[in-house]
Amino acid sequence: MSQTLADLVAKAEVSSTVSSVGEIFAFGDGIAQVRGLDDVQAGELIDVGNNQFGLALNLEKNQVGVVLLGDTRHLSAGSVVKRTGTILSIGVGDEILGRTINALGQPVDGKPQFPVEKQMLLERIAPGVMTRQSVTVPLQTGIKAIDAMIPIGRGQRELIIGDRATGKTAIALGTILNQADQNMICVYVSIGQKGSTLAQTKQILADRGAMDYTIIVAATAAEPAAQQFLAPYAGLAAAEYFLEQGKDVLIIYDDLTKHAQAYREISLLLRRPSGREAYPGDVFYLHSRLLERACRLNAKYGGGSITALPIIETQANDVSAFVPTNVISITDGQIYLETDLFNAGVKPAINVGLSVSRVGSSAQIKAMKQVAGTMKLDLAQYRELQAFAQFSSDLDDKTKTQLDRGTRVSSILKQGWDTPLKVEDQVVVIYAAVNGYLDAIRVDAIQDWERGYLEYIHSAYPELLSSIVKDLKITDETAEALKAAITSFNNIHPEWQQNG
Amino acid sequence: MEIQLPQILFQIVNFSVVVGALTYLLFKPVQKILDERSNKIAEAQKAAQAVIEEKDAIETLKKQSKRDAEKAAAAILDEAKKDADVRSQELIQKTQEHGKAQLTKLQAEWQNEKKEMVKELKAQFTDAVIATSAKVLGEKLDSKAHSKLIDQEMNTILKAL
Amino acid sequence: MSTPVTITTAIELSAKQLDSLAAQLTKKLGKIEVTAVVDPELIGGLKVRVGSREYDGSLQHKLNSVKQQLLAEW
Repeated sequence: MSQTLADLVAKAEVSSTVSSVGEIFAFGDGIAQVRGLDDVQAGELIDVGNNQFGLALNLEKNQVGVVLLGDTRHLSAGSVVKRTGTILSIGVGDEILGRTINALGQPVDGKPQFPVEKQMLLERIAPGVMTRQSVTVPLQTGIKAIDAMIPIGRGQRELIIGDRATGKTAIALGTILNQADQNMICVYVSIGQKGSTLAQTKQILADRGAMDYTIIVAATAAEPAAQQFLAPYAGLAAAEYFLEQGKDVLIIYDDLTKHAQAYREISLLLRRPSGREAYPGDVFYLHSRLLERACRLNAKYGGGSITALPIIETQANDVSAFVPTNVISITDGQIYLETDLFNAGVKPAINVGLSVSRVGSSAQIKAMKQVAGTMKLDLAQYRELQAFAQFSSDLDDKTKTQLDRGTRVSSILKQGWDTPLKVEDQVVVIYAAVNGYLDAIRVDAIQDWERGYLEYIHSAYPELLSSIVKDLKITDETAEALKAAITSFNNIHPEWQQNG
Repeated sequence: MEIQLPQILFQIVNFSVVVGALTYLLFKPVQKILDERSNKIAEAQKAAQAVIEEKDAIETLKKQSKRDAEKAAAAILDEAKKDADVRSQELIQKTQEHGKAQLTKLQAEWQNEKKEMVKELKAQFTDAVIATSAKVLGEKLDSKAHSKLIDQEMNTILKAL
Repeated sequence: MSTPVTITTAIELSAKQLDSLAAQLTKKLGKIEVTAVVDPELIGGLKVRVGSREYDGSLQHKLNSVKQQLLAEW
């Protein structure tokens, strides 16, 4: 208490003010039609009393459509609402890390308000061409299939697309868990999800210590559609606060399908004209302006980056529906998950053929390029031959070897969602797979083999791993030592070898 | 009976022929066979001796390897013990640090709660002060004071219009 | 075209007071159409609404603004 209350009272300024007001003449379904508010700005916050706010979205000749952002039980026709003069923004500070906020920037995790250092606008123009830099630094997801064949770089937008229950959120969470020592800040935006699912996610992140570098923006299914619509922009505003400090941020939108649906709901209630699948005409712009702000800035502007992993849920694998095609054309690639693969036990259920990363190997360390260079092609050839697998006894030896190799490589790409691998571990495992050291191992023993192999390398040959980390490539000596290590490991474990 | 010389000579010759033939056909081969047999026995004895010597050499080799293996095993065991000691030290240190971290976390949380309570109290107090002022004003203002107030405010508003 | 103007006060205004206020406003705004509203919540002073702009000179508003300042600074 630097000044006493009495002093403050004495110093207080007492004056009358002028404000721009309006009167609600129609109110329902979370939208208030207001008469008045003559000089309101588009996207401005409107004070509706009781410390609640609305967003002025529809500016028409004689009325303003205000989308309400909170509890509105105190409102009725005739209520007076005021302009605030501020465009929608949230307060962000360094201590927002580890917190859960809603779309308005208010903490919802029961802990006190974090100190706000800057107001970040929710709607901003994306950085221009001259402020950007091309994507060259990898984002390690910890998932072999992705880091080897669909590599993601910092500053890229990579879409995770698939039907329900195919492991989309699992990939996103696995990536967050792997960022523990990668100097990344993660933002997880939950749009329209069940509260129970979000609680589980929070628990997993907290248990694994990931909350120290993660922010959760929660707009669960019970929140008004307006908050679900704003949540991704709020998450992005928080991410941009750290981007301006030159840091690398990963932002995950889970999922943009529900975001588009929330926006559709608001647009229809605002009586805006609807188009294909009843979505408003600007649903593309809704996502493009969101995803364009994920970028990598050049050194002059801080050198930070925002990597976006939007998630889209398809219905019956239909990637040619409206919103999926929109987002596919906006992002720099997609990771395509299939239910058939998931049910066949291939987890992560990534369809390597349909998945692509348009940044590609410029976002891979040289060691990974060395081992995974031809893996995608090999797996494609393997899939073509798979149709003949049922006649495997009638095939020539070369085809049989290719099939065996393909089965083993596919098997080695299977991974638990919560066991991310460091990139050096991935490199040594894939090295063993593509160089034929798995050919003698039984297919059903490959998961055990991999576990034992990594333990063996960690305990007996840690210098190999540290050399890969240091040089970022496999030197000739490392390759020789690795070959010897794998051979000796195979000799120690004859129980996993095939008999005959 | 008369002893006839030619017959005795014939018998002698006959006898020598038989002895000669026997020596050549029987004696020499039998001697050869006996010699061979004694050679074979000598060789077998030599071989047996060699085997016995080899066996001794292997025994010594076995003992040597056993000693070497024991030495190596003892070295590995020492290494493992040292490793285990280091690891247990690390674990103890980590637990201590974890405990300290927990304590600081709890202290920080308590500080936050205190701050919150103070803020809450201040807010309530301010509300009370303002509410009192409002009540008092509401009761104290008579019509003359009201008119004066209204005129004052109207002037301000007209200036702003 | 007369501008609609709403004058809100805490106490009922006499006809004389209302006319004098209306006259002052007419001098500034031209032809106006005055509606008088009584709202005891204002405690004192008055509010004038012209079109969508509201000039708040009420005691309630002043007390509120003092409260906001105190909450922010204390």
